[in-house]
Amino acid sequence: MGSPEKPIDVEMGDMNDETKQLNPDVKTDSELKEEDKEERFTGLKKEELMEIANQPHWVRARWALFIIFWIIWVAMLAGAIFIVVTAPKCKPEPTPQWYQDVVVYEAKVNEFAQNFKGMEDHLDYVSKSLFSKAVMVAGAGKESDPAAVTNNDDAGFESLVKTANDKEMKVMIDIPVDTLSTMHDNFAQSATAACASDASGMYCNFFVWKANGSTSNTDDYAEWVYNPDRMANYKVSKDSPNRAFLNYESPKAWEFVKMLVKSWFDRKVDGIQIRDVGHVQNIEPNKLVKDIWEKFYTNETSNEALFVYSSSPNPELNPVMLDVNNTNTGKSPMILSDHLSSHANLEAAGKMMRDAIEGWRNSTRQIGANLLTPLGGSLVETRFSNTSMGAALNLLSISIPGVPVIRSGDEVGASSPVLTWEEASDPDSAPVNSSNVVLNTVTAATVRKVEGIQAMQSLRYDTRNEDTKFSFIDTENNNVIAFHRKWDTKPAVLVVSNLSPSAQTVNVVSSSGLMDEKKPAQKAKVVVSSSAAFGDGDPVDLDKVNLPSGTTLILGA
Amino acid sequence: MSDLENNHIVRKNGKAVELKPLKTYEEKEKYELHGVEESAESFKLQRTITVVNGVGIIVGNIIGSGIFVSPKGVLENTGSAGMALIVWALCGIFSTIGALCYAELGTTILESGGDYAYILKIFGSLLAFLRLWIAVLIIYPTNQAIIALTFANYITFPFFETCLSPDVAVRLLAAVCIVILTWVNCKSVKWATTVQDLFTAAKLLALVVIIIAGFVEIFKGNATSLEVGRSMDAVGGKTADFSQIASAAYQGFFAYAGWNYLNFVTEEMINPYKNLPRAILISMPIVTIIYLLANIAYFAAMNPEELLASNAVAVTLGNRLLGVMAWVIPISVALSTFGGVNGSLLVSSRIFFVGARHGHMPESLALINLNNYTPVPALLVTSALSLLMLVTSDMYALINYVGFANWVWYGVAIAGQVYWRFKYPDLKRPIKLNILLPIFFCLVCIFILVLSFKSSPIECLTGTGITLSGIPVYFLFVYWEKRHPDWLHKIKSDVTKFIQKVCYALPQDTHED
Repeated sequence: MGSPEKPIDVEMGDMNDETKQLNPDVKTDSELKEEDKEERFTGLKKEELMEIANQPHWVRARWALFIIFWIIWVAMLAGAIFIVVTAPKCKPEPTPQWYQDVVVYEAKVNEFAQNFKGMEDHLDYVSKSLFSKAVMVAGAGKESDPAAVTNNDDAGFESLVKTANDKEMKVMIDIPVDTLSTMHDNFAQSATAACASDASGMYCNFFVWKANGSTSNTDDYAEWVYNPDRMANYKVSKDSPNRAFLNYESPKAWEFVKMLVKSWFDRKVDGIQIRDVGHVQNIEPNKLVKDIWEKFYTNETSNEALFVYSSSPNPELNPVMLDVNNTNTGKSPMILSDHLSSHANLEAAGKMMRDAIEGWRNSTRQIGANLLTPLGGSLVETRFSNTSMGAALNLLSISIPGVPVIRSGDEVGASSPVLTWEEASDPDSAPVNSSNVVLNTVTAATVRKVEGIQAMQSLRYDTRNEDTKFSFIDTENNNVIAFHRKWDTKPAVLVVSNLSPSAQTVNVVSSSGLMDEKKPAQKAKVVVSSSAAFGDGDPVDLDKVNLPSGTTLILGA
Repeated sequence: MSDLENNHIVRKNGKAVELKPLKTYEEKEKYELHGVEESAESFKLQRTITVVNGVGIIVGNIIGSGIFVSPKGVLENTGSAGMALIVWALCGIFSTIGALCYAELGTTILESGGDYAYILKIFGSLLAFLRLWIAVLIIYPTNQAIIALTFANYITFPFFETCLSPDVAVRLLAAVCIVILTWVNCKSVKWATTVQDLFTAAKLLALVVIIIAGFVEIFKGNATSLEVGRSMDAVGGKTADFSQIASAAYQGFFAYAGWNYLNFVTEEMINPYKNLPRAILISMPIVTIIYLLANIAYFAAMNPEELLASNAVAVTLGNRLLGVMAWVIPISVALSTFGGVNGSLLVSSRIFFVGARHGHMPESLALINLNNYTPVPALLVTSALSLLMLVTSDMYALINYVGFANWVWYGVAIAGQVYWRFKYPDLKRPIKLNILLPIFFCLVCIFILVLSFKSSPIECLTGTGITLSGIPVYFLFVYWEKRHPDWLHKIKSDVTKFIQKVCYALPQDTHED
């Protein structure tokens, strides 16, 4: 910036004379004309005004106007105060349990950052870059026993929990409850138990055993393995043959699982995810969940979370039966489902997703959780040939009702769940193997979901009360899912997603969708998009939204 | 101290300057206290605006609600915290250049009315009328109405924290705000400038609270997005290219709008030669620094993503960092906007007034109340137009149409400044900037206009249409005024007389005593 040629603080003393002749020739035509006008002022002269305007009736008239002015002012003020006082108060915001209004980040400790220390170092990434305030930790293998999960690094785990709590984050632990490692002491005990005089409380029936030779019929997820000590077969998971199925008929096994849960709560975790509940042996899965719930979660003071996952499809888990108090803010188990990713990239994907969401919402008021990739499953990035599917799925899973559970790696569009971190990187920086498009989409949506920022509070939480509006929009196109979310008087959002294999054009102008002055809106603006083709704030014609395959848009007025 | 400081400059329509010594210090003080000149003076608006009032008018008008509500326009486009801060600083510096150009114009052409007066003097009647037309018809009334609505929204915020305040109550309160401030402005210029000073101080205090809270956070080491090396990290995956930085600057310039407000009341300033540039040179750095520090505080309190997602950034910061004192923020926004309405009324009434004095508005708007020395009819009309805007639902569309229009006229006025440098090189200019500065600022104006037309061509064309609709009005009511039939003259004269009697007002004296 240059400086004035002359100092600002000019010498003013000589201004007098010179400004008097301030360029006489500057007088322009318009000015000359005006001089004319000024002479022709048509109103009253000062003397006339003094005389007429001071007549009593004019004085009175001015007083009357003055009083009317104040009366109107006071009336407007009183009216405004009256309306404010008598207007219906804002409906109280629901106060959900912490786990009903959160974004969960699920990670295997070895894949995320090798060990608990590494996980602790990158908590800021989860909290500040992803706006996820709850980490679901899983052990390196498919482990449930604290010693095995922590790999005897109890101090590291304790430190992780403490640091996370200091950052106002929650830590949950993932434990499989269907099987137990054959390396566990209990397996040897069971294999060598004297079963002739077996009584309850002994290890004999701890696992699912079958006499050798009768192994023909078995479930598709399991197989039989011969044990030379016992000279019988035990049932193992096909995915991990070193894990034997627990037999819930055995009181000892039941006791063991309960002790396992307790030992985790003793380690101050804020919640537990039990899985794979669909494959538990000799017990009705719902009963298992219910029993654990009643044993550990009904205490008045506890506010820990119970997440329940069962490999898809999970017809066994019945939300109605688990609906412990038929409200949506009371304590309740959280059932995870991965129906979005299982329907993606198929014809009529939109219809199938809609059916799944409607099915849930029609059967229970309870909040559910959504997951794209279960632990051990392959990440969305590698599951679909269309690479834009990942960002689109992430965005949709965060915007549908329920708690999003992000599997580590999915949020950055990684193809391997093993994250790599730049050495000496900042605590909240993203892993090196990130796709920025995916990460930014996730971040843009999670910040709105978690922080409850006014603009998109309608995205935050699904109250199912009159003040929440969630409605599907009939696009007459089975490939596209479109729904409208609004909470009380908060601005509404419209979510449109095409997860089918081909590009689609839909009309989402609807009286149950975005409104513009009581008419269905014809235009909207992009709030968050999963695709670089739509920038934030871009206008969209709602009567013909062109969606390439693998695109999700959140639109607002 | 030069002799002149004890003098009272009196000026007639930019034609002559006469110095009237204020005899004694006491007398001068008395005049400052009451805002009324000795009866020996000619009858006109009085010189009551001090340099502090001037700073209050500029700072109070620039800092509206934007910095509290959504300082995100810049960040949205720059893509990183560091680049956003650079753009804020650049916009501040460029706006200061614009303000300095206006300081030169304002001290060369010593007339109230800002760009209107300069365009009138330099380019003549028609262009000036079009400037007046768009300003008084749409820009200022909508501006006042919108600030008043923001005031009403925030004053009711404590009662409706989690939902929207009732619309009717908000509009009524906005009207209450406009009406009471109109009364204050009608009552006394001194009162109006005092209100302006108090509320400007209040908003600065609120911003200082925000800044301190933010810097405490930085010293605690919680502000990761500001760390050197991180601050240029792209937010939302956008690395800013030139066109995005341009869009960001475009948003930034709107945040600084109001740097020209003091030029609207030059005739009411005490010693404008000194105080106009002084007030500008004090205000612009204050605003620029406050804006920068407030943005740093926001970045300290929240991630750039959160800043982008929030619709009430200061409230979010307050809820996070101020604890039980969080209520301070919405109240401060309300106070800030209340002061903003006051400042806008103060200056917009002067455009009506000056316009009327030049025959571009009905002559009754150039009347001054005999007791209060305030332009009562002009104030009532600008207030009434604002109230009218409050009841129309298309107000926001209107402001979209004409939002860019101010920049046309800043550009024209400053181009005029350059033109006069060549036409009248020997003109007495108390301040004379390097010629490159006004030329540079003209380029800035052109740049903003090009961006406006590029980003929303339909709105801009509509706005241009609204401006050009003033041409037939000009010819009908201004150019052919002399050919008006007698009955029309009679009606106009009767209206003027009626308003004179109701408002107890006279036009200012046309001749020196």
